[in-house]
Amino acid sequence: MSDGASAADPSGQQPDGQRSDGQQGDGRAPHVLYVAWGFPPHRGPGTYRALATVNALVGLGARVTVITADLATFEVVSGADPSLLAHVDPAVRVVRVPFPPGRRDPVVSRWSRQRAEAPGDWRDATTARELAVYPELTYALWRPRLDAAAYRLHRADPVDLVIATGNPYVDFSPAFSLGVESGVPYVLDDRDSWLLDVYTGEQLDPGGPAERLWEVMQRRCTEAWFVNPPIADWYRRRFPDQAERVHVVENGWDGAYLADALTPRRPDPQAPVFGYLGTISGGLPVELLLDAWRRARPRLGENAELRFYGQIGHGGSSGEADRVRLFADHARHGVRHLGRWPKSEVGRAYAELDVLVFAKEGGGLVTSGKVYEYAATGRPVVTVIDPDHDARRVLAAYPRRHDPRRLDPAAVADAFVAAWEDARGADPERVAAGQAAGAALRRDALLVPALRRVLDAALAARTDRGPTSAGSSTTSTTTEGPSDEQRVEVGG
Amino acid sequence: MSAAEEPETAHPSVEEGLVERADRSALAGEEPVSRPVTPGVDGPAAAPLPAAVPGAPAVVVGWWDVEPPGPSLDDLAALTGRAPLVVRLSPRHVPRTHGDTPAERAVLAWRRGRRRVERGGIALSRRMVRLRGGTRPARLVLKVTRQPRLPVTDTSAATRLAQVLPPGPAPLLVAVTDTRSAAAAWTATQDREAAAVVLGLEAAARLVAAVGASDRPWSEWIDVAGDTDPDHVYAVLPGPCGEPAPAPHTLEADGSALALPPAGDGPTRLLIAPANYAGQGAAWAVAVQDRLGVRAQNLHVVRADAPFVFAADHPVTSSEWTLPAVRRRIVQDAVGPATHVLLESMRPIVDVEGTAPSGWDFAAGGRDARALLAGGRRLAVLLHGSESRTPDRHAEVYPHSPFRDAGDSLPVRRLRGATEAVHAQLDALREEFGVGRFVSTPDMLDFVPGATWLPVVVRRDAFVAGVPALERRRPVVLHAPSNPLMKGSDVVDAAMARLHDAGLIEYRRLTGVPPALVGDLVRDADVVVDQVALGNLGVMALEAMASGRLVLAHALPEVLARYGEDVPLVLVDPTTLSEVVADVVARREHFAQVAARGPEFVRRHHDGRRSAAAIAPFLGV
Repeated sequence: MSDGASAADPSGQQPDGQRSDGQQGDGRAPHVLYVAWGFPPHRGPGTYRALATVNALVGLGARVTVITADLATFEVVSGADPSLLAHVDPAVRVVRVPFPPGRRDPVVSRWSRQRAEAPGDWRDATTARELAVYPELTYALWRPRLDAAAYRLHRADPVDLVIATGNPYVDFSPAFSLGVESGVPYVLDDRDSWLLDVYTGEQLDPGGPAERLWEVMQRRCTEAWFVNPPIADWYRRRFPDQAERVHVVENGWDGAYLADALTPRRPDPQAPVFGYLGTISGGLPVELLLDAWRRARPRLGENAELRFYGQIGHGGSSGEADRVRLFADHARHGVRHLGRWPKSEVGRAYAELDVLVFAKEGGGLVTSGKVYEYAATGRPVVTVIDPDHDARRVLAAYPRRHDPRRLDPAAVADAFVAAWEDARGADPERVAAGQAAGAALRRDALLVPALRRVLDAALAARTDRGPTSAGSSTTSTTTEGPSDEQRVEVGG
Repeated sequence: MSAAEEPETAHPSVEEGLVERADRSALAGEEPVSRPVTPGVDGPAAAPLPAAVPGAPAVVVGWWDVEPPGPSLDDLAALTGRAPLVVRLSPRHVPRTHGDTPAERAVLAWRRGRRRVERGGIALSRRMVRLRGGTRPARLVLKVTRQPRLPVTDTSAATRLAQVLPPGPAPLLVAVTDTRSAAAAWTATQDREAAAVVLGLEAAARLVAAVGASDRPWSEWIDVAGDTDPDHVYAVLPGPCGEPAPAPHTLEADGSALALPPAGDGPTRLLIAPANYAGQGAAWAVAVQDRLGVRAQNLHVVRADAPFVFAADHPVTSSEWTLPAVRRRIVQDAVGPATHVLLESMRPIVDVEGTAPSGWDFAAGGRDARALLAGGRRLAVLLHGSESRTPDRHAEVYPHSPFRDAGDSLPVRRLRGATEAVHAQLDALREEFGVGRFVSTPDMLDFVPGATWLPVVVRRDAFVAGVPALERRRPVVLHAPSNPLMKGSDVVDAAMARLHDAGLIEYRRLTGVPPALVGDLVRDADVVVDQVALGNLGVMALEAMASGRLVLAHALPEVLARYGEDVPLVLVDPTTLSEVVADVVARREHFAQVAARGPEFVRRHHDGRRSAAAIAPFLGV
């Protein structure tokens, strides 16, 4: 077990201190297939939930195989953080299925002539081709390979449970295919909401192919997971006859990366350090934060510093350069932009901060993964979010929350000052109270009960099917030949 | 000034204006002129990048003004193992220029004259090609186009810079570009031997890092990255969890031809490959194994853009199949153990000669058939329909054949050529080796003389009952053609639309619905119109019958007679369809009884028993 996995806690140790042997029913450890395009070394935010899930599954005694994209996809196409590989429990088997880079391919040299010379036509043709395969652009053409790989795996080593996480939602395909073709139970972990624009609350393409497919997938699944109650409620209302399958599995914070952040910091009264961690997306109220900061800084001291850790946008937007200039223009006001910050270093970043600034666009359907980390630190948090933002639910019991009276520069400036007073005057008990509130939001505390529940269900289903029919309702076995050549169900 | 008024000489001035601003000391190979970037002060922090490329010199050319997110010069230095040689070509904040300098005026000129610039870009790209010809190879040039509106000028600068670099081994030119200049850049790099063009600096950094960390020649690395790496493609069957994966399969140096091992002396083992249409290859394998006790597997080479992959023992996509390493694995895992092979649709299984343009090349299928026979295996060919249903013969036999009106159209000519190619292979194999044939539907016996009917197998979950048939006030009529032309869907749509509009039925037409969704939709219908012209009884019609739907289809009575009992379907053709559906609505009770006979009928003929019995003689059991 790697250190990272141990720190994330799912080192195999359950919250109650017991390590599950996972060998129920017929005595074999359950074999869980986890499908995640975004898996280490992918460096996107969804990776950490995937990483924590597979490590927790190992801790629960499961044998885990991950199907993900090939290394070249992350190395060249999407971006990689190779250090994340070290956090994957060595007991996890990783199967890498090459991902056709398609429209994301940055290597122009291997484009088709049509794409180079008539990019609009190529895009239209690619869109049509993708949508004929799966209702998800960019990722659709991975589906046949993904399904084929899942079948091959299931034949070689029968799968008892599939957990698929999206986006991308093509990850759901092998779960569904193994479910339909071989009767394998599956869980759909929808981290972002396939059908719903969480920023507007509007349904995406009502009645469209994604919704039709989701409805069928959901009807056959063991559970469908969502990251917050508002989104889960929306799905329960939209598909009332499937409401019992819908569950909330919140993100939580990963202990692996926050060890430094849990150490109480003694503020320098002359040099308060405020900080924001997270992607600086287009919707983030940067101007409001900077206005408020300029107002508050005379009250905080000339050495006060406001740091922004995180990349600006996702590349390609002209507004991003404006943000860069905005930060540069505010350097004289103690504003520092430190750029994209590796996950492995977030603990160090939090450790250097006295006050955290939590800002996030969106409303009642948006939580953000970062809010859990903020709460874990036990530090004062200034919340610059809409009144109905779901992050408020997460922070509801957090004692060191500082909500501005209004979302205007003066009120936010007042909250900055109040938070600094809190940081400067806090005694150890107050810090401990903050951290205690955050402890309940640790990822493993939120994740492991859900995993245990679906594992138990899968094992019960296996027992129902009998010991020789793992993964298949119509499995056929033979008296000759090795056991690893059990046939999978194919109908008839 | 409009684009039309722009003087034709504007473009050369762009190039010259910018190159003049290049730092001469850098061009001369002296100390870099890069400005140190302090994370958090001057720009974003360094992005985490992979390990450095040992010893690779780097030259960075380009516009280097305010830092957008992404790798900095320091990152590039770390990436390449030494400080990059930097040539700064632009003042800062050029995109906001008002034309104060020659370079800025050039930028504005470019914006107004994009078409002309694109032409210039192609010309410059050709220069890059000449450069790549080898007289003055660059080792590593990162051409940086941070401002996406300046591709051509930087291409020019990179070219010039490359010309002054000392000769050296392993020329690698990495150009960074944007989508607008992609065509020119693509043209410049099509032989892929010495240059790659990458969208965006960050992608360039990732590419250089990945190449640097690999032993593979970089040009080859470009070819295989992400899509066709044989070490990745079939690495799906490592040992039990926690054990190291087996050594990756590697390509042999002698090309992609494959040798098939001779058949073993062990017990009979059947391989059905490679079509698995509608999952039937796998279903027959199960039937053989369950009913006959003979080990059986199937291989499925599925189209790389298939909307659904049916379960199979050995599923691979057609793009994976093109890789010799994958086909070698098929030889080892699927073909090697087989004593008997059912070759589907005359398609190649492994392409023994390694020359097939695709997995649908019938000549390659014939070569594979011969190789299998030469290895001592028993072989039969299984025809599913479309590959061997000759259009001319169909037009003769079926009065409403879609091929009658299609005349000599291109699709018909293609189909004629394909089916004739299949029959040529079939005839040759029968004459030379006495190879037998199977067909999957009874109508095909008229197209493949002497063949044996191998009934399709209907999956168990198709027998799940749907809504009680024909009890609704407006019966639901469903049509879900896999191939509208062959099924006569135009006729069906028109006829059913009239009845729908008249309020007699509710017509549901499915288009592009994944097979996985069709079952539930079928079960929610009362009547399924399968086809009105082709004359076959396919898997979907049988599945509809199995769920108690009333199936309307076209077939010849003599074909149905091959079942040996009354078939519980209603015959239709394009001229009778409306009338029949109206009759169904009028006499629901009668037709509900017909539908109710469906499940038992399908069970008798299509649960695998008849299929196993049909194939038993071939297997010698």
